[in-house]
Amino acid sequence: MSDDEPLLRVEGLEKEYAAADGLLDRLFGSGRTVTAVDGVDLEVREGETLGLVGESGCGKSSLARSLLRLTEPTAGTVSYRGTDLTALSRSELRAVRTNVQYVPQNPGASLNPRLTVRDIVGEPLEVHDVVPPSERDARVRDLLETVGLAPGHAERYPHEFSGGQQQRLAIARALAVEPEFVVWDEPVSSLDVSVQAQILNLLADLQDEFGLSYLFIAHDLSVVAHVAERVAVMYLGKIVDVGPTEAVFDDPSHPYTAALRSAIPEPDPRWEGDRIVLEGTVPAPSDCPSGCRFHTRCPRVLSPAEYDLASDTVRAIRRLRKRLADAGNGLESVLAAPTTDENVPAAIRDEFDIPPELEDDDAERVLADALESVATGEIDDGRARLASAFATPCETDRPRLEPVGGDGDRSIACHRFDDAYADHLPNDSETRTSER
Amino acid sequence: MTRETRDRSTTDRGRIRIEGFDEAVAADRDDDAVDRWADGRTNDAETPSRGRFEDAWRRFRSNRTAVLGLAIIAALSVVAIFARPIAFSTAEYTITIQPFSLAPYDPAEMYVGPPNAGPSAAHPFGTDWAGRDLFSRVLVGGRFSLSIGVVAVALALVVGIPLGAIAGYFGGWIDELVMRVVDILYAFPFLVLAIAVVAVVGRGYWNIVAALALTGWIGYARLLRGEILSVKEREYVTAARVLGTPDRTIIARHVVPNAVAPVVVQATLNVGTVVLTAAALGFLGLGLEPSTAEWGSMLANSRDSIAAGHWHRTAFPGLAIFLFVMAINLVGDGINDALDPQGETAERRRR
Ligand code: SF4
Repeated sequence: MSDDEPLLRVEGLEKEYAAADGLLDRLFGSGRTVTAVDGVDLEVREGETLGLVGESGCGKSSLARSLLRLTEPTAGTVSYRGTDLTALSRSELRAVRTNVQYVPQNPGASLNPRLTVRDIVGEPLEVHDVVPPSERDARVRDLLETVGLAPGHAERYPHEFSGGQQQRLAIARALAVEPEFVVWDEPVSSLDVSVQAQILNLLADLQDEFGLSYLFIAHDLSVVAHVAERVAVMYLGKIVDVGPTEAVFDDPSHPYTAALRSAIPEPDPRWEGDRIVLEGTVPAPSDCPSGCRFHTRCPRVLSPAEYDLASDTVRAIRRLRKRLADAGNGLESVLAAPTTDENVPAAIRDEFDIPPELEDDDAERVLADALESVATGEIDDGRARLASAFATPCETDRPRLEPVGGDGDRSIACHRFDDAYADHLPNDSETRTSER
Repeated sequence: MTRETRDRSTTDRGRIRIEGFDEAVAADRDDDAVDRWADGRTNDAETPSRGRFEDAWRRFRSNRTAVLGLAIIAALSVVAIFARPIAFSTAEYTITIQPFSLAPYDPAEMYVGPPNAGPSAAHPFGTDWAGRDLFSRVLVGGRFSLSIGVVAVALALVVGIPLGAIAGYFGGWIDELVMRVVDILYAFPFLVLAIAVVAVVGRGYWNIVAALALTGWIGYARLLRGEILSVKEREYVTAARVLGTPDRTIIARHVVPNAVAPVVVQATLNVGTVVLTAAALGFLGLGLEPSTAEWGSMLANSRDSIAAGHWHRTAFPGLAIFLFVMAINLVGDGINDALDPQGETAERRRR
């Protein structure tokens, strides 16, 4: 293994779940699948903590579970110190479990309620014969002490512990096999803030003490920033932004990262940044947007190349198009409140915050025509006109994770960072020239 | 772990610090909490930590009808065991294991009294057509009925639990195979299947037990499989898998113990059903030899005597069956409530 070979390298990892759940679906094999993890590449280097961030449902846990082969990945490779985990047999995999550990999300649920702490923490010792049977009890007590519990707790049952203590038990169990690499799945999200900090500190101490490498999964960017040297941001099954923690916290960055970052409460009263509120909710993985998966919510979505528009306008038109796409064939479903106004196009502009006159004359002409069609009830026609005129590369082309900046440490998947799309940047784009 | 390492390790990472709490204060608070907690627990050493089983037992004990049922079963068992001496004899020796004899007469001995006599001081339950003492026969008959119930259910569990566990945990073709067999056996009514088996293999104690076990395991396998389908998705099973615990250990330690409660309840209730079925087989003439002191056979042999006014010949064996089955049901319900205080599985229990 050369020096720059990472400890763990994930390449093109995919996980699909069959969406068919009824008997008939199974019989006729209706091949509907949901892609939870869609071609993820990741690296974890020796001794570092890689933070993995994303909203719930973005596929973080599926990624963790399939890279550990708790569920079989559909495609891709996971090499750990040069061995491909996806190619190992069950017994070989069992041997790897002493090096790679996983601490599942909910500490309470991850402890068998019928076993005592001694049995729970002792199980890995027994399975892998880490210490001779006569020394097991002593080792369990050591481990409890290492994670900050009293050795005398060995005879208790999990339900007698608080959430933070249960998490410590889960940590002790994972440490029992003496791993080198631990995947933490939302280790603190179910805990109180003060307990969270204690657990995070414990994780950091353990890392220093035992030289561990971590993959740290969380939905909260601030927690990740606290522990991770590098951060990967995940959206709907794809990594959209990855880089050293400081870099990810600096502009320029992926619009999604910027939105997550803006949601972190800032202690500094002089801080003047605006919170970026994302429109809508995360789309269901079963109905994944085309092109860039973030385009339905992206606050900085690109504009069509032909026109010279401001981002607000681009977003307003996107909202209108979304409504038209969802709407039936009546005007009522386009406008929230029935209008008494004779001037339907103006009412529509009003509702979607589209300026009465667009900055760009060509764009204005197309929009006016389309609104006219909608007003006369030809909603399909309006929809088609808008779609052909205002389609952006964000909807059609899938951005790839490309290195950004000089040292190649930071990669972002967004067309804004691709010079080929330079003339699609909205005209008020503040980072127009500096982004790549 | 010293305070210094904590402080150091939290300041030199990342850019954002967690705000809204003071670390030193929180750390103290944590230590306090743990200490207070530990003190509170360790100081009263005479209340050791209680497992789930102790909790369940406590709930069971506070349920009066269940305890009554348990007492009835205990009494019937004691009576059955001590009804006649139990001895093993070889060629040279006879080893008497149990010398007591509660029954006044040998249940098989004929003409210990006048035939078909009603209850009297000498024969509290009267006598049958051959002058055998019914009281003695009912006491001894418990041995057959009770042991058939317990042994048949135990055998059915021995078959049903592993099959259900394997089918539920591994899924796939094993599951399909086991469940199709279960479905096929389920297509026959329980009693009809037992009758068919006895008709093929013939009468006799072990044949009846085998017939009842063969028809009994399917229920347990199916019930356990259903539970396991949900238990195997629990996080602690994932945790065990990621530790590299072998599948059979996962099944035995993590999956079955957390899925078996409804099966235990069902099995308890089934002891009653099995006793009834054994009695029904006896009544249909498919049970033990007609002269055997078994409750079902005793009922069968005396069914024409009701018309002749010999009510006592059916009433006492019938009452014994009734008492035992009722007691089993009381205990079964008690176990159910004890294992499942929220009543989650109460609906699923009855099939
Ligand atoms: S590609 Fe377009 S939609 Fe996607 S993040 Fe970049 S600007 Fe937003």
